[in-house]
Amino acid sequence: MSAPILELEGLGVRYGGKRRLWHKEPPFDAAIDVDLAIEPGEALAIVGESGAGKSTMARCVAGLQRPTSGSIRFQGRPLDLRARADRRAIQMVFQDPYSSLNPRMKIGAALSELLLVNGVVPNRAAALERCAELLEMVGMPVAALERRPSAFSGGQRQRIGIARALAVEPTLLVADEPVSALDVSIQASILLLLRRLQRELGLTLLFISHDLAVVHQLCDRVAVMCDGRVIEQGSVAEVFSAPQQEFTQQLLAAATELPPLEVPAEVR
Amino acid sequence: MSGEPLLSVRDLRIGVAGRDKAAAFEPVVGASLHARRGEVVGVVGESGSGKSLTLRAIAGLLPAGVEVTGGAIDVDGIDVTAAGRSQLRGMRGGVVGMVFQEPMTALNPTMRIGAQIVEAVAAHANVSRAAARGRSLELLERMGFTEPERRYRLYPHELSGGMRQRVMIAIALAGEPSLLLCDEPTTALDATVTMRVLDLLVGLAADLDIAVVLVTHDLGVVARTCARVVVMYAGRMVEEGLAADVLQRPRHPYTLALLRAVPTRDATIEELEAIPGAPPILTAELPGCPFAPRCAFSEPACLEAVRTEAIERGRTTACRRHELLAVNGSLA
Repeated sequence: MSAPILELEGLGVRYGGKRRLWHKEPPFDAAIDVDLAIEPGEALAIVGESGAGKSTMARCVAGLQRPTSGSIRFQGRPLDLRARADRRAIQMVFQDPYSSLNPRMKIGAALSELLLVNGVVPNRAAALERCAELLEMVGMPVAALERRPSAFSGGQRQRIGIARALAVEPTLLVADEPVSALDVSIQASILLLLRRLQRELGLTLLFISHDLAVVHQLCDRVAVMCDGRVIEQGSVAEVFSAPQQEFTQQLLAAATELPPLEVPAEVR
Repeated sequence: MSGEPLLSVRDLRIGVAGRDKAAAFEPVVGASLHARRGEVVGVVGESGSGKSLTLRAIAGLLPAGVEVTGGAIDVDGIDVTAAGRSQLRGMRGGVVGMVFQEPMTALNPTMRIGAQIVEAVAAHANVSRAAARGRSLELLERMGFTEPERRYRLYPHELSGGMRQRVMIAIALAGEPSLLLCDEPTTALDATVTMRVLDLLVGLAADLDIAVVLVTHDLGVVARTCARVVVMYAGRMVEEGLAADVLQRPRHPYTLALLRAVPTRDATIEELEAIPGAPPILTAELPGCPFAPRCAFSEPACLEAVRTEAIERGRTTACRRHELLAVNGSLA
């Protein structure tokens, strides 16, 4: 076991609790005392229902949300979001690929801006070259560089969203429900893409999902969240075959499985 | 589950008028669907397959500029395509109830939920306020709300997504319809809540002896709730049959591809297969099978014509080569 790349210790996020004119707002804990660790190259899933605190966790790790207690350590040091290196090393893929892309910018312009600002490439020509490589990596035609997000379908936009996240060569990819807005057939292609990228680039993946079957296919370990707490964690095989907590059992029971296919052997 | 179907849609075509002839297109080309009382029928397909438009056409709720251009829709003896505005108004709510995907936008945020159900009850029956209130409480209770009197006074924002959807179902049932149309009713909900809403729908179909048509893109939902299922692709019906049959022994390559794309807990990601290519652009005329360009079993003749065949009773497929998928079939 190598040293974890990311460690969350006693992480908590509390909203509200502010003094108003006449009363004090009751505080709400979106996350309470969360301990998690991810090894380099591993895919860790956080599962749970809406409001369980999954996205809050993702946002804390990506630096979009400031935790109110606890600490985050990244690569052995406290995560410092003022340091450009740490910001670059952790990138996020969002659920809605449309609202996470600038509708007015051509894909090429959006990607090369990112590359130049972060100093990934020295000049515009190199940036365009790198953009083409990135699109190829996510299975998009190079012609996409000249078009705006509105020209693409949901699945294509999600591919672009992944290319955007990969542009700055991150070591940790945080994906918050990246496939739940997509059709099944497209969902499969995005999952396969994430799996391939994770292997080829040695990415560490923090995957937020409510779909247990997806988690089963993509991730090594899983943490189950309920009401802001991590109630159970372990390897995917362990947790799914022998869930310890009642909530995990309920979650597993609610996922409907399809009957096994009966088709001729040649077709299979 | 016998006798004449309550709902029958035959060879429905829906057209969208464009600015000129070239921009006009048909998002639905030949959808057929039947539902009997007490039965839950699923309509599955991906975005753009025409499933939601088909459902809206049944309720006479097509958006402006979109029209039924062919085929017939019969709901409990009413010819929906020929019915006038007032006849459709009478039908909606009274004969046909509808539940939409987004319960938050469908409910009025400034009205208590009780008042919204009362409004729906009063719109369909000439009853006193007290009787309407009683009926609303009864509906809430039927929807599985504990303490209906207390819930009655709540506003939509005070309810969870699953509760809102159950309020929507209560409103849809207020006029005692015999057909309930549900457009992706559980897409925005959590798995455990989804299960509860689906079980409620199945229970309602049986207890109230109504037909339920459920449009969804989730094959798991179909497996859980539907007796029969219609699979749509590019505005066409590609396969129809008993849900258990279709999901386990698909006889159309598109259904098979869709089933293979669903992640399961007992398969590895390597067994997951994405469908190559993209759905066809519907503005173009498609004489043949719309799935042929993406299909592993297609032959040149597939691009020329489609023939919908009945394989067995109540089971049809639009694939010429469906025998390749039959368990005892042989490779041609």
